[in-house]
Amino acid sequence: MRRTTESSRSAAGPLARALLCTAAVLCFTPGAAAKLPAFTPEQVGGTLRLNFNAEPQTLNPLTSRDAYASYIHDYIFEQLIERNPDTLEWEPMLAERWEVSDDGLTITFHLDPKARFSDGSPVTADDVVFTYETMRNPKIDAFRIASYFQMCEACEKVGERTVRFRWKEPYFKSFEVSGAFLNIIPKRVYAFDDPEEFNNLSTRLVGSGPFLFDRWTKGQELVLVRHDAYWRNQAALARVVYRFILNPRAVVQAFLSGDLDYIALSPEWWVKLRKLKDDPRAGYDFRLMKYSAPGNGYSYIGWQNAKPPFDDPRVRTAMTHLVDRRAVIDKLLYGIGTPVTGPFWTGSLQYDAGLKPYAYDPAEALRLLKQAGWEDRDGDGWLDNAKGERFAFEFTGISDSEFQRDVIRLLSEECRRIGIDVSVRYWEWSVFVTHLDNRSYQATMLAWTGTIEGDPFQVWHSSQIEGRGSNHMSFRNAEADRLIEEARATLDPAKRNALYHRFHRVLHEQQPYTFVEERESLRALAPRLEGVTLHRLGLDTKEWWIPKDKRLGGEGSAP
Amino acid sequence: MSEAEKRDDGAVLSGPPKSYGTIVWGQLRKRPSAMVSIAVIVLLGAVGVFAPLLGGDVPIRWVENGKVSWPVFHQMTNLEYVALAGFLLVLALPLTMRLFRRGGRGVGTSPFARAMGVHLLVWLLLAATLFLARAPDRAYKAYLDRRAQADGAWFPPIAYPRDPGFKELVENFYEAPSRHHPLGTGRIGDDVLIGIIYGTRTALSIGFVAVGISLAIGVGLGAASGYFGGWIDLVLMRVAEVFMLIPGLVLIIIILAVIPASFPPIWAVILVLGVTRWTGSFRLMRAEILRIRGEDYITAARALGIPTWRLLLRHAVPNGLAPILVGATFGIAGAVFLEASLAFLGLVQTASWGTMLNDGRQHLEYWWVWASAGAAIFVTVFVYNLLGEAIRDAIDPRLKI
Amino acid sequence: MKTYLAKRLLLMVPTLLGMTFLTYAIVRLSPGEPIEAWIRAQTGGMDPVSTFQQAEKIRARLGLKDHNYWGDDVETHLETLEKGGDAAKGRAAAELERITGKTFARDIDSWKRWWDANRADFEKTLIDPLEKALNVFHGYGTWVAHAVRGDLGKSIKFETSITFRTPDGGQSPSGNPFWLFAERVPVTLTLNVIAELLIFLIAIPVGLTAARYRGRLFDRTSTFLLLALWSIPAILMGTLFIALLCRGGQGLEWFPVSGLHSDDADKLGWGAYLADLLWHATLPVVCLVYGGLAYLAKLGRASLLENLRADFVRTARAKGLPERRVVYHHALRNSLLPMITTMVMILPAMIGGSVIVESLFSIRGMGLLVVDGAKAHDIPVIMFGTVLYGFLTLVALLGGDVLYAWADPRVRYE
Repeated sequence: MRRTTESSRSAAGPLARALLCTAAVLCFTPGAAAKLPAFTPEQVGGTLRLNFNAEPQTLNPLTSRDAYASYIHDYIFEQLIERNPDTLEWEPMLAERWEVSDDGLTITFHLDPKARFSDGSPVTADDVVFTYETMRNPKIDAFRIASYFQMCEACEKVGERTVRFRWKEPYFKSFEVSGAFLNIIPKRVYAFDDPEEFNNLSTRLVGSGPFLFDRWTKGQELVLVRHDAYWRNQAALARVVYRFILNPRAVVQAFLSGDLDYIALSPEWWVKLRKLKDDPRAGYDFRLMKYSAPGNGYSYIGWQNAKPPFDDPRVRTAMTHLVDRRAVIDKLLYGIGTPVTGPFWTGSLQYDAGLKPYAYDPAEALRLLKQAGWEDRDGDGWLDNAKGERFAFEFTGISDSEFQRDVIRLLSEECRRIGIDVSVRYWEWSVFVTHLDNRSYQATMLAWTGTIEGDPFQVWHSSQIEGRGSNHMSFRNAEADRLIEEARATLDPAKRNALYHRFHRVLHEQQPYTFVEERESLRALAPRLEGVTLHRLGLDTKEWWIPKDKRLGGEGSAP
Repeated sequence: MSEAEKRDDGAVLSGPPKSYGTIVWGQLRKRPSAMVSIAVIVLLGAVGVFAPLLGGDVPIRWVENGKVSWPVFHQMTNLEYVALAGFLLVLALPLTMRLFRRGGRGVGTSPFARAMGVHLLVWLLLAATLFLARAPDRAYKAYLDRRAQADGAWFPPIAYPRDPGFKELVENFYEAPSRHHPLGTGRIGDDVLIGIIYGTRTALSIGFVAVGISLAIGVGLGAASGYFGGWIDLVLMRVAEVFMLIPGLVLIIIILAVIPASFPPIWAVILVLGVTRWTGSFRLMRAEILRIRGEDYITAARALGIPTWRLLLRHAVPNGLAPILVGATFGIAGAVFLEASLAFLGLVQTASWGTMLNDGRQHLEYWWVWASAGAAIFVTVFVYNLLGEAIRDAIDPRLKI
Repeated sequence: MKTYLAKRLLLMVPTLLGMTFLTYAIVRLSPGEPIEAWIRAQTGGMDPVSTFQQAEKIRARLGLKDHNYWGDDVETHLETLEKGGDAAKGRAAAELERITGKTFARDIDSWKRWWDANRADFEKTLIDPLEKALNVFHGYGTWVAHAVRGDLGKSIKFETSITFRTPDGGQSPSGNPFWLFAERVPVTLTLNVIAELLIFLIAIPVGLTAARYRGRLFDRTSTFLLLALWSIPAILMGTLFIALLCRGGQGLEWFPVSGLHSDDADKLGWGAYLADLLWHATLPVVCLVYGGLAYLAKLGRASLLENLRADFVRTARAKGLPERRVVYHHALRNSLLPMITTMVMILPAMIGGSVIVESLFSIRGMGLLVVDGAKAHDIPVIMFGTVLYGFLTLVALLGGDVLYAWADPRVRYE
């Protein structure tokens, strides 16, 4: 799980923008690509024009760190398995079948003999092992992926087209990590003597996917072309062009003037475009889509569970009753978002949809606080505990987020109105992070990005409180720990998700966070695009096509 | 100081020399632009100082169960009282000056200085007493909600919470101007007019304190440079050059960007503005002192044994002060301007007009937010600019600027 | 004159040094060094140790690593422990134990593991204020030493949009601050020079007319109006323009809203390219111009008035020359000089102030580079930017003085 960050001056506010940045995922998260439909020759051709809000640093298949590079990789590289975008089940990609041992420690993949890289050479076990070895090489800067493979003992070649992953402990994500987290690269092309040589690679992109890398003109655009000899059903689009347009207003303008086919929108622009679309005089014709996607994650207000006053779950629940999530979503986010009650993606099987969010109810908050020992004993308007100490705390905020600033301001006033003394202090991100690491805050507001199926260990297990783990709100609950550990080792999805439902319930009762809302992805599409299907996992640009009469210029290579 | 005497035959004998300040003031009085500017500035000051009486959810007078209370005064902080007292004392200066003038003539300390001294003393005593003896009442008492239960209540003209809660967010999100909200409401249901009223405080405090700091530094260093001369002068001139080399905005941006965000932003802005804009008054003060030192009457006075510093204080400072005053007035306008620019660049988040303007920019269709803030900035800056021009013209015949 | 120039140029050096040192000290001493934050943003902050390692690499490259000057350098001791001779190892182990209080003796692996887990916290406690100050000097010295050799460092955050040939034959953009600014200086300079010319062309006639008809309606209203214009914040003006005049706004859609070129500008011919540039530049230039009119008009007016009162004008009038010739030929020539000089000297301030307009209209100029660089504590960019601005100011000041001396034979510099 990634902590969302970013400072920017964009209109949407950096927290929102960060969330939307990952929501600018114009393809899915890794390992979730779809098998392309079979296209007729008339459908083949045309150029899809998209944009990136910033340029990637590098496109290296293993060391690149930013989301933009991973979107490009999604066109060019493939993994061993992929998720069905609707049922979420695993389907073959480079591997045609697999076996998992009963103890979950050994996972064997059998590669599809038809699989080919773009240079025509077959995808073999050597390539998979090479990819794995390179990634785990400490001199290669692939920290991000390598951290997922920490518990992996080895990846061995068992046959010409068979590989075996061996893991140290049973972990339900081992299968996903083994099969879907590695972009398989050809050994022949990427072999190196000096690791730095590999680290410095940026534009050498040879994979087995349906598109080829054409060129990257820095500051201008990045172009991909169709792989005519792709080993499965080939794509319809002849070219995919990503332009680098940083200014959100310029992006929308380009879309409206027909220079872009598909863009991601911030909530403000969504509202504006909706008005434009409804206005018959404006004469615009485009499609707007709003959907929940796993990558968007959720925002939350974090309470420091280890120290008073937030060491009491009744106090934390009271605080949750003070947040009007509906108002936040309807007004501050223009109605875009869903209230959430737990740390999982609402569309996932881990999320217990039966748990309803606590309502905005200051009276109930007061009642709970009284139960916890906080009431106005001396009539001065502030709540005090039995020791006579006033209920006062400090909000630790990030200096760059307009959304956060608004929510904190509103919540502080709500607190004041029931007698809680709140002060607020803002820090820039790098200093703020040290507060998180030292657990030296009382209340803060942040967000996590999500995945399709996440492991709550990192954030919620009590072992992650010490050191600099991600359990920065010091949540410690024996039952939650037990559920997390058991679920990790449970390989049967049904049993595992039942455990996660119970875990979700524990969090709901304990309220270590006040979960606020989950963002929805907002997209605008040009009317000429065909084949656009909204899957459970979102949209996949690779499966789109453009009718002949709507293409610009000539067929094939023309824009 | 007596007025000029008119003799019976019509000749006018001028009385004892009028002080420089009186001459300038006389010039200013003749110009309508100056008087209007001063009036507006006083009005702005009044708005800032009396803000809780103009907008907010705390009533001025509250009668419940037969008991009369004045909640707004209980809730005003000590700082607000000190500012209020300061404002009133400054307004009262002309009266005190008149008292001193009637008391006696002569070339002792000017009545202005004496009046200032007295007022300053009173103000400091008041401030000390307040801060030591009083703690304001900050708790929330739902006066607006309980309005019906009171026997009598006088609310400020804009009776609306200063800080909105979720209820206000839901009911008053970006409302256009109406009877209840003369300038409409903003993104979190906050009343724009209240924002403007309280924004006056930010604008004026940034203006005055920042310029005050830069004046203190500039005049102090300039006097030192001119008085001591030698290598002190050399060093100080180089230092000033260093500050003058980097264009003001760039230097301010660099410093502000690296000040930790946890530092109270309003003080960050004030300090940065104060510390980077002292070179103007520095050069003026230094030039004036150097000029004076060359004058014959100074040499004569020194020959008589009068210490140099006293001469400089009596002659250089008052003369040099005039152009410095012009610079200061423009400086206040500039500070308000700069604060808006800094808010726009995202370097600082204060509760000010600049922030309102910047926030309002995102949604041009809710024009009342940015138009109000923009108008407020414009009026304030314009008025100070007018005043600066007027003072400059007033002293023009005497000094070349 | 030549000696004067030489002296002034020589004096530039210590002033530039002082200015850059001031900037460096301010940035270096401030907390919240964003390198780790930036890495976390890129990587998702998965692994604190690896984040730290990468941050250290960047810090070393930028000369930002804090040294412990009193010999408490744990890293050095660890290295000695690993590679040194027997006696040296013993001493290193003893020193490590003294500094850290940990008793791993000579067990290098334990030391390394402990150090990896605790180094960030520990290093912070080793630096005391005096060491911090020394670090600032050391860092500054390093920067200067590199800079005079032409090595200006590499920006953390920015890259040029033009590419350079890399040693292996590829093309890649540069992070060198020199090129970063070189790309953008012409843009800012052009905008501001055009703006200044326009200010000149508008303000002078206004000022002259005001002076000629002093005290009359034109004089008073023009002063008032220009002062009012000056008081409108550029943000407001720019926003109004965007809202009312630009594409995608509420009103007329005459102008583009961002940048200085249309997207396909490089495909246009020379004439069309220029027209496109002018079209994009109109609103930003207007925003730069309207504020400067007041000052220069006032200056022109004052200057002309002064000259109109001078003796030589009286002589000219006494000679019977027509009023028009007196004003335009004699008085004006003398008035123009201080105005031109002023214009040269305020160019740097204008450049500094154009940050706002550049930001409003998304123009890739110097201003935004400095602002974003400052926010990111990007030392190479900040330092070179400071040098550049300082140099520009010095040149402008010198230029103004030279101009003055050249035009006015009474002025002589030694």
